[in-house]
Amino acid sequence: MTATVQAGPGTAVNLLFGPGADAAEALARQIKSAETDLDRALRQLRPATRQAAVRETAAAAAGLLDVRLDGLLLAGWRIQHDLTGAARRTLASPGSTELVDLARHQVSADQEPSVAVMVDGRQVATIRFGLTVEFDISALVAGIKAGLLVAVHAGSCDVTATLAIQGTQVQTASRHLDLPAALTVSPGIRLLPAADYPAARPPAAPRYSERMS
Amino acid sequence: MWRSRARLRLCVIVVALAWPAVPAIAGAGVAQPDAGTLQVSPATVQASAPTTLTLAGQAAAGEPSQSLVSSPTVIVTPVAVTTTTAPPSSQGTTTTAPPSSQGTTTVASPTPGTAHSGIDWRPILLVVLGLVLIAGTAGLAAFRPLRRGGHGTAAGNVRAVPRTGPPPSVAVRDTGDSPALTVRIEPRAGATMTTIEERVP
Repeated sequence: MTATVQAGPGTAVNLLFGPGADAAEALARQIKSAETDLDRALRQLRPATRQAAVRETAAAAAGLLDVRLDGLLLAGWRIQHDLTGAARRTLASPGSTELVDLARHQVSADQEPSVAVMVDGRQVATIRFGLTVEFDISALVAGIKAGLLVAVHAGSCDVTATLAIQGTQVQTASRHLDLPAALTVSPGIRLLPAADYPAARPPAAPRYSERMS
Repeated sequence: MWRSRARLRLCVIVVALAWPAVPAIAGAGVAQPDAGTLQVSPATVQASAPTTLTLAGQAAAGEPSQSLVSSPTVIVTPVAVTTTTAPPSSQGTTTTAPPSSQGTTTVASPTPGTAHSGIDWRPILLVVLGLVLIAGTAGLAAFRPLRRGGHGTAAGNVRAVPRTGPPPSVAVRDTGDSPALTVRIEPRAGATMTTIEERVP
């Protein structure tokens, strides 16, 4: 079941475990139940130390999974040829604006962070995570000016996040996003590499009133 | 079989105990008429050391053989190891000649060099107990780090190091049928018309 949210997409960990949930605690449970070598590696430790190690690992994992969803979506749009073409054209023609009505498309992003557990300076275990986020975007109308994405006039998106630990899927969640409400693009987001944009002008000389004051 | 042996009116009970205390002989109906001879009828003998209990009866000459109820009871306190050469059935009814024979019971202390002398179990038990204690202590010492963790590994020595891994791979795939539609809005500067009006005062 998907829920429609009008707020920002937030992060992948919020999408996976809920915005109000303790992601580290939920991840600790997932790590304990997953078939990792962490339990065997920490067997020689005292129970309290073992639990603290799992909590630390989960907290580190939660930080790694705290990935902004809009960043992943924009990373996909930066390689979408219709949008990048419009960005180049508007960059070449200062003052021009293009409205791009994109066909339905999918953006998928994969990330494989990991947490290394060190005991007395020696690495005893590595917990590998797999984060997959898929956006299914339809009816997107984007405004592009000077090579920047300056507006999202319409569009909807179904986003699904999937978490795997040691290659085994352990959590998945989906939501429906209304893109104009979810994305904040003002004053503009680059769609091209930074080198394609003209260098920033030097700061203007102070005005007369500022010099006299 | 043991009944036939009892007819010989010789019953030897060897009680081997682990406690080399002085044999305690007590009980109701026990009388010691002289040194080395104990008369028990019936007897209750308490012994706490390796003790050889010899029951012997003497029948009067010429008297017919009669049944004799001889039930000596050997009570060992404390009970550690008891070795009895005669089965419990030997303590039952025995057939002997005169009734007077039931009154003589000889209890002899173990003497060194006797073939059936009691084995002193005390040092053996002590050695066994010591070995058990040593083995238990060694086992605990060996398994304690596995069970509860060693003292050398403190909580501060455990670190979780996050690694972002390779940069995320992003892919875009068109799933719709209709192509993208682009609307271009390009403002163009038009001619500027300036009107100058003169007013004559």
